[in-house]
Amino acid sequence: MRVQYFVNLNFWFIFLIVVLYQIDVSAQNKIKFSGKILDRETRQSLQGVEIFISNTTLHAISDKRGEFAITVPPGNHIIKLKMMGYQEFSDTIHIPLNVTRFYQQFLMVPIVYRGETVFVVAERFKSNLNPMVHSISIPMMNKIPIFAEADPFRAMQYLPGITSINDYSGELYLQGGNSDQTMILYDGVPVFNPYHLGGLFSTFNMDNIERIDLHPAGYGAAFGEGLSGIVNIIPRTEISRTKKFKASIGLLNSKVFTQFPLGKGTLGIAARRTYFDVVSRIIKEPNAYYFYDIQGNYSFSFGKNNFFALSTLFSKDVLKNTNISPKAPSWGNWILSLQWKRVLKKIFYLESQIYLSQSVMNAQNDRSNGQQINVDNYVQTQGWKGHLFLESGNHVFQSGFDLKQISIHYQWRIFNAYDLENFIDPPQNAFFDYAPPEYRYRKKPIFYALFFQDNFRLNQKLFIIPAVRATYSSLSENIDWQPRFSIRYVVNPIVNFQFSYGTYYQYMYTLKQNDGKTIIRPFSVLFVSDRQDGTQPLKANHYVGKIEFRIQPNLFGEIVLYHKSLFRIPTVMNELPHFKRYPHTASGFSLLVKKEKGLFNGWVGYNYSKSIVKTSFPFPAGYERRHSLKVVLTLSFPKGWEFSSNFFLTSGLPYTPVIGVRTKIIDPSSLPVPETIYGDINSAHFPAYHRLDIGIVKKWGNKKNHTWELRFQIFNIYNHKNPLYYDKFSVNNEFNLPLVPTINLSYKR
Amino acid sequence: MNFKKKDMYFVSTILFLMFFSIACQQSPAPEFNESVSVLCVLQANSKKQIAFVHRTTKYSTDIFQSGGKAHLIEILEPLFYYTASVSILKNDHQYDFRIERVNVMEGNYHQFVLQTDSTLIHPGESYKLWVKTEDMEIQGNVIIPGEFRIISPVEDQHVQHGQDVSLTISWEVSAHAELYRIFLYSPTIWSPDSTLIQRGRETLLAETSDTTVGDLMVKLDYPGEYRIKVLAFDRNFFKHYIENVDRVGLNNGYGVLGSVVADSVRFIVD
Repeated sequence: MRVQYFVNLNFWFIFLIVVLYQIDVSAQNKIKFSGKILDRETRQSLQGVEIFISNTTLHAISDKRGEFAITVPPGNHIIKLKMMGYQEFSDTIHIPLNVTRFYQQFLMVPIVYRGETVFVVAERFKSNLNPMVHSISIPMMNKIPIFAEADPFRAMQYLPGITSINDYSGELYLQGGNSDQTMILYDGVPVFNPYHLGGLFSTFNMDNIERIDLHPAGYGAAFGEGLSGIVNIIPRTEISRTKKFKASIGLLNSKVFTQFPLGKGTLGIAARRTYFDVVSRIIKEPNAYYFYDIQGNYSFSFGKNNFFALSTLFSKDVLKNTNISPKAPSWGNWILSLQWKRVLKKIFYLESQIYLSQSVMNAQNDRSNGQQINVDNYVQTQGWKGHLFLESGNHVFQSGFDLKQISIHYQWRIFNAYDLENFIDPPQNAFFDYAPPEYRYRKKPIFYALFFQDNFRLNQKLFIIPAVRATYSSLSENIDWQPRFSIRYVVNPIVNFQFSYGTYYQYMYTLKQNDGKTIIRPFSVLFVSDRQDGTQPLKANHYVGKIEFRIQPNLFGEIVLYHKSLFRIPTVMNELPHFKRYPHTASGFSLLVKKEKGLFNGWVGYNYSKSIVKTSFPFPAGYERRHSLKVVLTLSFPKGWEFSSNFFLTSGLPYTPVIGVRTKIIDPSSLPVPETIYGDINSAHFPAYHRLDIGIVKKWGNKKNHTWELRFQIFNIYNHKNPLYYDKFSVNNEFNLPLVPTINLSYKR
Repeated sequence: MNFKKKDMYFVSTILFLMFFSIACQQSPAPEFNESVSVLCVLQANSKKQIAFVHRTTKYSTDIFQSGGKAHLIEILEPLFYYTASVSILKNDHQYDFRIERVNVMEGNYHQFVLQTDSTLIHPGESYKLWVKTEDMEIQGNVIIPGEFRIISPVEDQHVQHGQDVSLTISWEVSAHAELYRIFLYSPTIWSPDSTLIQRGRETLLAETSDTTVGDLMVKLDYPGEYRIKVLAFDRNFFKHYIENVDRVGLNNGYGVLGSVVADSVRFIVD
């Protein structure tokens, strides 16, 4: 402990020196360069434009009059202006040696496409309103070497503060929270079991994703119910007159994406399917598995101020067995959403959405040998939500509502179906720990949520964001008030500080412990807090501090400190045949240094995370990885060659060691039986997990925009045997994924 | 300002510290330390009390292989603590157990036994257990569950025989009891020509924390005298048996000091 404390002190000290050193260097310059930025067509002042001076760390943001001021050394500089909805501006300016002030006006060209006004205004309202949100760039994610298939969830696991339980799981553990505390949304719609292959991949096709908004601890009032954070997958819904097409073929699956103008709007379709079943048929293996998914979006606008988007996602996994009839086990999701966005006079903006999301698992097999599997599980939500933005002076007011009903229906009978073991038998693997072979559970709660948030700019440097969210659940028969508060202080163009506090409630939860043993989880059952069952919603208080700093124009740094107090968390323990609710705490810090552009880019991230279950004998949560270091690097070479690599080094997962054998009495009139003695819960750890993945990409094409891409990647290149789970007296029984090569060819135009 | 050599120095120092801190995190499983496992469930209104004292041992998969009673004896006998002393303390009197060798068809095993002329353990009372080995002294405390009576069926109640007879069994609450076990004792049935039709047997019908079990479907194929017995176990035994807690009612080592009280009724199957 003393060693770790010493290590952490050193670590902070050195990072503070780095930050202060950068601030000091930037203050040595002499000439005040100011300017004004206008929309080229409307001549309106543009607020929030980012101004960069190339080859320096200098950076500024324009105020509401479109003005900025920055201190620069004399000489020639390349100035870059960036703002969502406008073409990037770049020009060389000459700052004379013999002046103390220099002024210039700039005009930015709006990106012209239908519905543009809605997007520009939406981005203006949304950017910087939620200080804790991260938007994750899809092009960067596409470069990361992956296992078998590019997947947004697996790519997100390379960020500091996001961990995974093992190589077989795409589930996301955000900043010390459990995976069921991460709310997954598809364009704002909840998705209950968003995985293929029982957790190996997410159901989201990277080709159809515009971006991923990650709202970790301390997020704003517009979202709720993710105790440790929200992951919002934003599909491509832009209106574009350009036709796009992409097809790719890989070892695991083939996929296709197309986007083209249709009527007044744009239609986008993405689909993929695996081949496992075809291989099974060839080798005459009775068990055959496949999955597929289809995503579709149709976006259109009425005039400049109204935008509509109809989105759908359908995913299905099927486990076929030629010896079984009539209905093979299958599971999947269906999402349907209609969104309307409207702008009024550029100070008033609203979004409204109706949606449906369904997660289903079915199996019906009655066999001659008496084995029987009957599963009829679904969880479905339908709802309507609205979000209003109003700008007035230094305030941006946000208000909204979310009304939804969730129908939960679980019913199964599974007895002795051994040939389907690891998929749906025993039921504990698929549904929840200690699930009985026969089970029935039905609930139909209604939730009403209202929120209000004020983004108040006190001056150019200080932003205060008070907010409150209130949720009523028909099952808990209570209004849960969730106050939230953020403050942001921009020290100078290089450094800013943020602090957030928030109370969060979560109504649905799983009952799965993380022993690492169960690697296939096709349908994790979600339970809902119900006053009649004596269960109250899960609750958390978040305290988050964040420092963002810019080392160079393209080199960013970020330090996040967080503490979460979590209450009433269902905790399944090894030695109890049932679960109990305990308070948990999750605290830690993460560091990120990221370079996003240029021939060489990537990031180095470190995270320290402590997740404690606070029983009378506190112990670390089963998913805790106390230290993790992630290095992602991509290099671009001439003639379309790219090299990428990831390196992972994380603490091993904790486990409860077996320390001996005692005796136990079952029946006082019989002989005792031997019984395992366990040590303190999660008191031992696996050896540290480490892995290196590499990827080589070759791109080629012609002048007609036909582009080919050949991707060769190797997962775990030095084939390190990372232990998968602990089995009573050994940690070396089974391992995470070995060396896995992947090859993928894609065509794009 | 460019990213120069001294920045690389900072970055590499930080990376080194990260590697170092991750390496510090590893903590292997602790070593095995031998201890003592004590099992004693005091039986109210009985003249014989039994206790087991064994050494704990290292984990091995062989121990948990299924092999019936013979395998159990093979595992347990080498662990039996012959040099231990076991006593019950009641009202400042000490009652010492002795070692008894038990011979069964599958082999021989040893246990500690306290045989008295009159019943020593009474419902609702508190008792202490004292176990002493060369290395350890263990003390235990237990409150025996209170006396209770079976309410239904009543003594000598008549029931019609059948393949699936519905029985409802209820009893009074026993103070300090946490778990009830309900047994059915069926008689030995002979045919008129003295052929054995059914051997007398004990069947566990239910295990519950409630004081009633309703609509139990029971096989009462043959007429005769049957018996229902309800055992009321205390909280210590419940935690040992159901929650699998390592040590209950004892201040040291592993095991349990539990207690049980019983009541039974006879009923007639016509």
